[in-house]
Amino acid sequence: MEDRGGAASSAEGDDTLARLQLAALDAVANAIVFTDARGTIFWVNAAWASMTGYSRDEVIGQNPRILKSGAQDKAFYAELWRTVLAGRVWRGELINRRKDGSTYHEEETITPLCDAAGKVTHFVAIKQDISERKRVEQRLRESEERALRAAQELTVAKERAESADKIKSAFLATMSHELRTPLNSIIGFTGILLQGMAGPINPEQKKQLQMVRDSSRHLLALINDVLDISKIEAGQLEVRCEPFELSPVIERAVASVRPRAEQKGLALEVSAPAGLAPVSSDARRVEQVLLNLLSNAVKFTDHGRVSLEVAADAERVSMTVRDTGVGIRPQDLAALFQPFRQLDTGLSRNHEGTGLGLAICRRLAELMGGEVRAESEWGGGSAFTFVLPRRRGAP
Amino acid sequence: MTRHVLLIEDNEQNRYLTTFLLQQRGHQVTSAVSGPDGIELARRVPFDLVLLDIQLPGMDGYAVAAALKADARTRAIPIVAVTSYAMVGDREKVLGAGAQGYLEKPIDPETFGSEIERYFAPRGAP
Ligand SMILES: Nc1ncnc2c1ncn2[C@@H]1O[C@H](COP(=O)(O)OP(=O)(O)OP(=O)(O)O)[C@@H](O)[C@H]1O
Ligand SMILES: [Mg+2]
Repeated sequence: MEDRGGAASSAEGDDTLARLQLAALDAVANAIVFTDARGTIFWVNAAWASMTGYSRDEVIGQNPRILKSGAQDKAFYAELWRTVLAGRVWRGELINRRKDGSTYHEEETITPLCDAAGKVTHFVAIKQDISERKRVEQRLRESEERALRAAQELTVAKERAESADKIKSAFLATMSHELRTPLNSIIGFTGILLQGMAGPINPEQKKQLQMVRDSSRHLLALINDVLDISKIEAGQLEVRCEPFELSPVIERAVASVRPRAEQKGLALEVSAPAGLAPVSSDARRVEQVLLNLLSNAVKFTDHGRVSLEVAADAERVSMTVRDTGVGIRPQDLAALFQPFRQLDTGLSRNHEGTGLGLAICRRLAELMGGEVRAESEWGGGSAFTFVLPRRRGAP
Repeated sequence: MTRHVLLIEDNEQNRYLTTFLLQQRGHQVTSAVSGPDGIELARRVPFDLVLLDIQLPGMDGYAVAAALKADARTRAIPIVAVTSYAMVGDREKVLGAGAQGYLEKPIDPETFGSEIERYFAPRGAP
């Protein structure tokens, strides 16, 4: 026992202290209930009353089981009683029901009070409403579950996309094979016949076989374009990075369009600096881009000239194909590089082609770390510049 | 100098074409229409080169190349693969499977013969 001053005032002091303690218990935020050994309530504080919705008068003499929500089973309560009747403190969470019928979560500590013989005489229960915390926890759990579900869905979607990609590239491979196999023999046999390897042919046969060869080469070019654009879109296009000399590549591309330029009476000029240093890139794709730009220039020019100007610095080579052809309207310049887009040139005759050339050029140039730019004036010719880094950058 | 080439190709027209081009240059050609047939032939006949189509039905060219390279009887024969895929990594895959050369279809009849001849081992070499 503590020393509370003079013995004379002791009884009065005890009384005052008990009143103060009760006032303090009544004022705390935790709900407090006193019961006898059977659980019959004989005192509750204000917090208990506001937590449960029952007034003090209503519950004195009652058993706390009036708060039971039924959410917890018999075994749960049996364990609780076993603990406290054995004189041990019980701590746990209860789901209870307020007077108005609503349920709430409480965290509760029940302390048994024992007499000198060790027999339980009273219980003190201190509790606090943790419904809000439960709600937050629940929400947290739900959002964790949602995140988990989203992650699982993402994995499934990713796997599905990957298998779609696989199907796409398998389809492209099959198409490529199925289309090239017959073309391989058409082009091959035509070449054999034209070269006289299978015996002499007369001039008319030769002329017709040349037409077969030109048509099949054209068909091959179309198939290649369609496959290229599909491969680019499926992320399946291979771009090499190997050192090579640019001059022969340029010469080959120019030589391919020369016959057509001559037929149309166009001058075809190349100006390149002497001693062009080798570049590290994809020779075949560089040639493809140049050839596309050159054949467009020849195709869309009826009078004048087509030129290829090559300029190089330490970092990059730029190749500009300039023509004196129909030109491109300013509003059409933006659509130029979209696949399958052929502009209305205002000319009466139709130009052959699929409108894939420039779309492929731009994507190829980008895959090699460079770009293709267009400048043009309607009726005043066009200039397409292909910029190629000397070393291919990261794709 | 006459060499003996094993052609493994399933397409009849392409088989005729390739055979014609190689015979024009004086070589002898034996052809097989499937991978297993080709492997079987290669084990029995001392070929100078195998011209292998990659897109074969059933056992594909990669598997054929691997099988030829795994067998002591056929390991030394140079393989030139012919493919019409030209997809990402094809070349690496073909060379990784043990082929020495790689050609894409369509072939150019003017240069085909001389391209193939580059892969013959020099005569007298083991
Ligand atoms: N040098 C040019 N002068 C004028 N117009 C051009 C020129 N180059 C391209 N164009 C316009 O841009 C369009 C798209 O060009 P692109 O090369 O993509 O297709 P195409 O040449 O019509 O067909 P493809 O190249 O697939 O055979 C052309 O149809 C044409 O209208
Ligand atoms: Mg074009």
